[in-house]
Amino acid sequence: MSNALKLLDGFSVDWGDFEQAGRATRQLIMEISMNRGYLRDLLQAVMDDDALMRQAESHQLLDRIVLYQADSRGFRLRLHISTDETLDRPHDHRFSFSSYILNGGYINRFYAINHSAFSGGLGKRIEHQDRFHPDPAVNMPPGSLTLLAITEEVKGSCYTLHHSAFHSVQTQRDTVSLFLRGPAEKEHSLIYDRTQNRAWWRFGQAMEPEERRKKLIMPRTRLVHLIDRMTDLGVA
Amino acid sequence: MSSVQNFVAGLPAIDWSQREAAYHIASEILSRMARDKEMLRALLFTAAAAPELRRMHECHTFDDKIVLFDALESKGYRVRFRLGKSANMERVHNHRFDAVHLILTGGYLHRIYKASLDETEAIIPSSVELLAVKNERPGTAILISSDVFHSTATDADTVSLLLRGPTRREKAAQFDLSTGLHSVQRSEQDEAPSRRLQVGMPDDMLQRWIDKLEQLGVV
Repeated sequence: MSNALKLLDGFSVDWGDFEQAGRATRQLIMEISMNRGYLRDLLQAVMDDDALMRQAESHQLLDRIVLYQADSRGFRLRLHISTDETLDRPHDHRFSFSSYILNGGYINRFYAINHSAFSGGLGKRIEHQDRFHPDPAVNMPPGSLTLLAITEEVKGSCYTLHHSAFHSVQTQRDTVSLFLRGPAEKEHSLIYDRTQNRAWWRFGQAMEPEERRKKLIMPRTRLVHLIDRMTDLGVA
Repeated sequence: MSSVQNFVAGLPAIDWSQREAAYHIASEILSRMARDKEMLRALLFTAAAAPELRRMHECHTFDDKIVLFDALESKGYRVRFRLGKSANMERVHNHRFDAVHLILTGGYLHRIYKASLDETEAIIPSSVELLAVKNERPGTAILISSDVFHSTATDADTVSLLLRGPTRREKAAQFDLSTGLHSVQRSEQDEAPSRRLQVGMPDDMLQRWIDKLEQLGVV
């Protein structure tokens, strides 16, 4: 068994204490990130694990590879790799997470959002899960979003974000992050496209339509290409 | 005109009604100052000698400040050194103004919170929720608006450049999570004379900070 797997097998986290969970998970992902061999081993293990392979996804703004899954111990570890598209889309998450920037970087904007901009029930929201099916019930007039703070995330930056935070990340080319997420704490999150003034919802895999799942699954050739790219970038 | 006056005169104005644009201009100004140590040194010694700036240098429990120049009226901002002390308690607070920070040495554990104010503009303790935690390091610029609550637990020898915009609120609120104590900070003009005397920076302290900034290679 690789050292990375030994480290992860011995780790568990309780997100009920956000501060403590953040401290422990930042420390864990920093330790993995400092050891290039750890990441290489984890990526190699994905190639040999059909269950993890099936979870690798390609989205418009990022590719993501699940490196390790331990839901019963409170975490999943993923590698996020930005695509060449860079869009500033404010969003929240269904879970809290910690992230370590391995390459590239981004401007991290924190917002306050006026929740009265949303109407419509959950039953309807499930029909609006991507940019091609925006939710007409989300109305965001000017002033709905207030920019609270901006931080710069550069190679070596590490932070923890609560699921209730609303933020946006506008990535540089070849931005790679080690991303550790906690358990889902709500049914869905919101993604807002300010240029088109439209929004849609993100649900967990179990509630995504089959058609969407098929589109997201990453082909093995893409995974191999990305692993090679990580070597080229000196990340793994 | 002196080189310091020329430098300040050549800086762009900032319109804070567009926070994002203000952040980028402010970051560029601070980065330029951080790179030009000779100019930073000239600004520091000018600020130490100019009475209108000297009276704005202050000592506080968690950090001291040396105002390097004041262009609030003409360009919409004032720039100062923020000089962190080892006192390292967790105090949630907001600010009366938007500001951009550039860490030069040291760093801090930065916590961003959601919180609400009561009718006296004090923080409601039960409303405080932690949203984000990050180790901030030298070289990255941070915007903290007057609408956000945050805390900074500084490492030893943490020095930042801070560029602040115009006042947006009369009072800033602070809440100490460990003791439950509240406090309020007002603008210099609204403070009692006794407090101004209390927070003013003595000459020997100013000299100690100048020595420290030289020792850290900041100027």
